[in-house]
Amino acid sequence: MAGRVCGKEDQCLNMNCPLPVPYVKINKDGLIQGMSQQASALLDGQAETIHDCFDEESHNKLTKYLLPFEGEKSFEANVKGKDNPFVLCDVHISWEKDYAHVVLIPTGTHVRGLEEKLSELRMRLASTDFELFEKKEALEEAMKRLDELSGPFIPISEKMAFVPLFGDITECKMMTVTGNALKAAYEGQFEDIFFDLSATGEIDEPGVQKLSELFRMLHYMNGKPVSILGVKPKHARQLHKLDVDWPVYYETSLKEVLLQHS
Amino acid sequence: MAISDVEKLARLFLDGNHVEAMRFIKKQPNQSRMVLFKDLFTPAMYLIGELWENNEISVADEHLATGVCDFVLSRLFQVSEETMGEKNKAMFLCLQGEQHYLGIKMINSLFEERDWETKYYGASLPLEFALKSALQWKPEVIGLSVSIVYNLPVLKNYVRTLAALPHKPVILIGGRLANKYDLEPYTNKQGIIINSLEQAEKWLDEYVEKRINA
Repeated sequence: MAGRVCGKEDQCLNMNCPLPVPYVKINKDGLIQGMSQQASALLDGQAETIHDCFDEESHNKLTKYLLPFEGEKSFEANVKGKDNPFVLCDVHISWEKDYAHVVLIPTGTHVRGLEEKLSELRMRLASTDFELFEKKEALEEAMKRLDELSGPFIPISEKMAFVPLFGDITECKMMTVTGNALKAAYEGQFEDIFFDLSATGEIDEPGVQKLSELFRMLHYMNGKPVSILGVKPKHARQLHKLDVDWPVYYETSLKEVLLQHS
Repeated sequence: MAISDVEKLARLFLDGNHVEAMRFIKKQPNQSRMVLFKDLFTPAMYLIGELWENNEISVADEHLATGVCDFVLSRLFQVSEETMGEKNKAMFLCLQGEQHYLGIKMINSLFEERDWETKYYGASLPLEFALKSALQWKPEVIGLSVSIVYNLPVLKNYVRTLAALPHKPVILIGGRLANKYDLEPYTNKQGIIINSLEQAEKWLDEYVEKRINA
């Protein structure tokens, strides 16, 4: 059937025309009236009807488009290729009186990348020890909880709050502390907030950066800089080295502060 | 209009939302694997196939949903590592070229739930690998899955080769095609065709009972 010459009204279809896409022309019964060279290259040469060009599992889908309609419609279906029984294509159909123009654009190459990724994921899944995976998730949860507990926001009086920072000052920990401190500062009406570094270990640069942001935000919220207590010589050296310019007051110890405020 | 639980799960798979999908499964009143597989997972994946047929989603969406469904199945129904004494052994695989592996993954999970030791090879396992593994490990049951007509011709060869193993394993044949076509001509009368999850469960219960009574 392929290669048959069609009616006069066809512009292009002396069928073996070199259209740059796979194109098939069919009649109302789905019989192939002709196809482009690209379509001959794609499809099995034995196809007589449009159904012969498609994988059986795509027939239901195809049938829905085989009654004449106005305009153009597109759908995705598997075409039986010469070398491959499943060539995923975007199928475009339009009807012109008793004939339909069908263009098949293979999309397989896009999906192939996706299939490979999925296959990798499947391998990964097969080798994942989920017990370990869940333990890791639980550990992450515990670490977060630990971070939350490493900077408790303690109201001492209606106007004073005390935040001792335990352990190393890291970016991750400071992000958790920031969330809690801002919430507590917003809910209370504190004039003085004291951060205590007495129990603080190492201080790294990203941690300092996050802490500066927290101090600045608390300053904006309270209209008054926070105060820092318990700076050890080690911290002083580290802060100096990191060229820290925190918008804060420095106090010596909580004891001094409480005496001043009593 | 309220949407059904099956549709809800299908939507979560299509959205790639594995967290919500797991939560949704965990809060189901009946936590039996059989019920979850039969009433939720399988119909949700069939619904996704229908959505493709209705031109509502693309093959790419289907792939994503498959990946999410696989993840949720792996995560919720894990294999426990404890090996207490002698267990029955079963091996599951899809024929070469066959990529539809979710069904046999569920069957594998049902066997595990009944305390079988299993090897699950998933999609597309060439016969030579299946044979090598079965020779060494000697599973008493080997489950094969086939869902695409083009993969049918090799079924006969798989069944004949695996059934001829010296330890005479039972060959089970399932997959979507078992439902649609008569696979009998492909089995050389050496395999048992399994049409559904329920049938697999029934076969398994009868098999265990027979073994106990033997």
